[in-house]
Amino acid sequence: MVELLSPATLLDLRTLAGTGRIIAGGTDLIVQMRSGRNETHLIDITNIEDAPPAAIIRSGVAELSAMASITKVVDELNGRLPGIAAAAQVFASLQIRNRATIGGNLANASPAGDMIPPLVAAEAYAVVDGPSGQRRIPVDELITGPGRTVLEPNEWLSLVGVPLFEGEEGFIKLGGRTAMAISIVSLAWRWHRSDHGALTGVRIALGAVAPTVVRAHKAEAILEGQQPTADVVMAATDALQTEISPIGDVRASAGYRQAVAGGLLRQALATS
Amino acid sequence: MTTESVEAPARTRYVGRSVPTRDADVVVTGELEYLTDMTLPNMLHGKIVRTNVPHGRLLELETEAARRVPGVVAVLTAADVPNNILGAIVPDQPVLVDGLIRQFGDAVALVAGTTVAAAEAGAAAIQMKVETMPAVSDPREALRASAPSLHDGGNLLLELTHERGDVDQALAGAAVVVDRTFLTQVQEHVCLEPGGGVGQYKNGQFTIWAGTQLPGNSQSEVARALMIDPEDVRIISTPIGGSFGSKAEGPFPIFLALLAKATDRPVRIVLTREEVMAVGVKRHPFRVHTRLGLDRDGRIVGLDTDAIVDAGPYAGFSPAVLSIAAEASTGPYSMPNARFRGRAAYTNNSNGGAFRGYGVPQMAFPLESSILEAAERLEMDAAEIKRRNILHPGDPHALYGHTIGPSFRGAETLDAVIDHPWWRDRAAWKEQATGPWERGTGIAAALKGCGYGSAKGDRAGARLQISIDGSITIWAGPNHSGQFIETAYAQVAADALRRPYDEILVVVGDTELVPESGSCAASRSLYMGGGAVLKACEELISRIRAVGLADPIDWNEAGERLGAKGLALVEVYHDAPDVTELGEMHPDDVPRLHPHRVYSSAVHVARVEVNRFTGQVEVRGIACAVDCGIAVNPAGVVGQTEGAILQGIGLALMEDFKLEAGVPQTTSLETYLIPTAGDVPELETIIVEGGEETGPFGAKGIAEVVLVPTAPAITAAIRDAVGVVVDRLPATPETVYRLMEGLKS
Repeated sequence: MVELLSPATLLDLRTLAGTGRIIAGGTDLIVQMRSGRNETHLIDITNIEDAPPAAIIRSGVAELSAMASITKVVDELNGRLPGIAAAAQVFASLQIRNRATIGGNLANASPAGDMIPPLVAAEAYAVVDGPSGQRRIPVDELITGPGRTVLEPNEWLSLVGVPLFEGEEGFIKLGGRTAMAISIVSLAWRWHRSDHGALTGVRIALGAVAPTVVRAHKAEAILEGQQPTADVVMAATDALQTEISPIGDVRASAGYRQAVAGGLLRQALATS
Repeated sequence: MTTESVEAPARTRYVGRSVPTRDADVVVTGELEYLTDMTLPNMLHGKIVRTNVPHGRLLELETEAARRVPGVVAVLTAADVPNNILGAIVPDQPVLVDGLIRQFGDAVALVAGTTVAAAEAGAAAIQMKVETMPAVSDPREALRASAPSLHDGGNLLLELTHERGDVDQALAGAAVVVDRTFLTQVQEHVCLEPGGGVGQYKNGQFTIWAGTQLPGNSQSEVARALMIDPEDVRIISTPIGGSFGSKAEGPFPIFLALLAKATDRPVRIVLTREEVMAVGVKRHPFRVHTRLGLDRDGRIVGLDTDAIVDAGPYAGFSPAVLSIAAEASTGPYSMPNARFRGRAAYTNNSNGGAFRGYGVPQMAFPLESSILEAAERLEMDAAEIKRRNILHPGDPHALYGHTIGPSFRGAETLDAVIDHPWWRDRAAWKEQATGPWERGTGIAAALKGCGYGSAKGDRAGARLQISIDGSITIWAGPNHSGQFIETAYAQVAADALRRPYDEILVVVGDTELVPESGSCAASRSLYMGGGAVLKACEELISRIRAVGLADPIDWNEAGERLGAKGLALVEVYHDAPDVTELGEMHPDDVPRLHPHRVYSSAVHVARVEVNRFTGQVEVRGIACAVDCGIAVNPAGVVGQTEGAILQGIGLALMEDFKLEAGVPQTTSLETYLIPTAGDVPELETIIVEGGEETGPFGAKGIAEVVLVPTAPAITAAIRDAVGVVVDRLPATPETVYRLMEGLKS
């Protein structure tokens, strides 16, 4: 039997935290429990009256609720943060987006979690809440391996802060079908493109090609300040392929992931 | 959904109308109680204990601990099966393993408990000692003399060969010969209802409520295994939440009977999705070597097909699948020379079974792909080559030589697609491609027989009763496996009797009430079952005439008069006519090759976009023209077509049941991908009507043929878009990407 606790306020949540596993949308956790994961106490954080609003903008940063459904967050963004919105658009299915949360996607820490690359590319931070108060961690330091984070058992994610951006940003997912597919490879980006086509402020993050979502620092450096000519793109995709360490699994081979990551970057450069 | 009719004939009152599916309201509202939902008083819950190796020897089975688990009522093993044998065509499968394990998930024991949890705990407490043996996982290896034999007599389950004309000579003189090997994958049916049922034993009588397409076979399999009279077994097989071939065979009804007998209580077993995926029958994977020769004018001069079929561990329906594949190896085309060699091999992989199309999709993919390649080498249009070679009524079947019957409308069906704007405007559409997405259009054609084929004793029955108040009840088969065939039976009966449709009650899927009618399979339910219903109605009318009633019939009076004379119950059997125009076919070959008298055809045009950076394929539209005889229920034809196209898209692009050395790898819907609503392209069905003299009101069966062209039409479109030859299914992003990279180097 599983006991479900449903705190109504953040204060209640702080009191209960640590006595069970935090559950938000449950779209991963419940599936894992059906496959044998043993949890005896669940603490539902989706009915908190004083939870943060789905999204608010303050001083150049969009603060997104980590506890609200992805659908609510994206609706509230109303066209801002197109990289986040693009990832949400291909995240699982509408039904799952109506329950799943950004916090859950981060805490589940799958290398293929689709909300993670755009947050990493945006150099977003996460607000970790717990009995001893809040702390702020860059999203790319939050996750330490597949299914592993720096969160303590009595902590949860309340917000992610995403710097607003005036340049180009986006997200491409390669999956086995158009919805309800775990990513084979995903890529998120942010960059400015000058009138002459030169790229600056280049940030690239990839999913499902390493134990965690990774930044492609070498490829970023090659593209930085350059026009994406054929030679530059070739150099960037070659570099990118040295920065990832994909595995082969039932969805795709390691070799294909290795090769197609560059293809996604080419597509991003060609289409954004 | 759009539908247009080519040449609509004069309509009868109900046949030809899109009468809503009977029970549609309770299906869509979720109120319909399926057999897996059933509960009976005092009911127990069963669990099947399965092996976790694909090949080995069961040395010991320790069941004592399981019997001591609280709530466990019975534990049964092979020793508890009176006659431990199973198999519709070749009885080569044990009900419960008693020695050799031949498949991952073979059943070794059954547990019944007072709750599902008790049964599961009992199952978990069973200890098996197994000597593991290396899996025979490659059918070519399986056929080598050095391979371990999975059955007495070796691993060659069946070899089927036939040649018409002289293929080697024809290919030697051909202007082009396309020589290529094609591979198709294992496909899972993924029915909405995973399967299950309830068994009951009362007063020496068994009642089994379990979805099956072939209730008569379940009845005889239960009787054989329990060594009882088939009369003592009643199978109630509807309603059923999808089947597509998957619920046509296997030990499941026997499990229910064994547990019900042993416990003297009703027992329910509900299979999990993972269980069905891991262990259930699958579409056979084929390796097909094709050599296709054409002359300079694009006429096919010869075709040589060599197919190796992975039958899996047990024969099941594999011999019949191989036979249907052979007949379809030449597609809807005419040619003077053709040869087929097919070998079905036993392996420790998934058990090959029936799946919509029954071996024909695995033949159409190589043939259609080869025709496309030949067209390119001849610098001709692929559709024009199809047109030059399409079969016409009166032509000899390309492999068997019997005469194609008058209702075959392959040429008109092909023309309906050639005239479709998606085919006509393909060049302009291709030029409008944007971004990374290249565009392409493909066309593919197929034929499939209706019914079991000649010399198979294809028969369906119907029982009709007129009651004293004139009301009509019909018990008929085949039953339905999700398509609610009762609707079409009632339409046929309403027109035959000239009664309102709503006044006809139809009952299907119960061996005690419905005369034996064979399977809801082989595109035969309407063709055969509708034929039996029509015959029963005609018999009733003639009895009414015989008691002196004339038109318009007074149905009350008819009911009274026939009842008084003991003539109120009609029971008829309808036998499918065999091929009578043998043409070039030798009569001795009929019982070996089972040629069909009646064929349906379908032609698809597919438009796709292919991502040149990733190999992803998105299908934008598929239009299907279908040669269905008279469409008894046009919306039913469209429904069958659209559902089939989605299964075809799955086959073409994503569905891929993977095994590693016999161990299933894709046992959930997370790793085994099927199309979702997001993958549905624009769909169009073009009904090309004709009239089949042996079908009810001219109807033919179409539920399988409409699936067959989807995969080759899509792969042809991929070739048009990015220039690659897809020689294996599915065309996943990785497969297409690698083929594109291959072009570059």
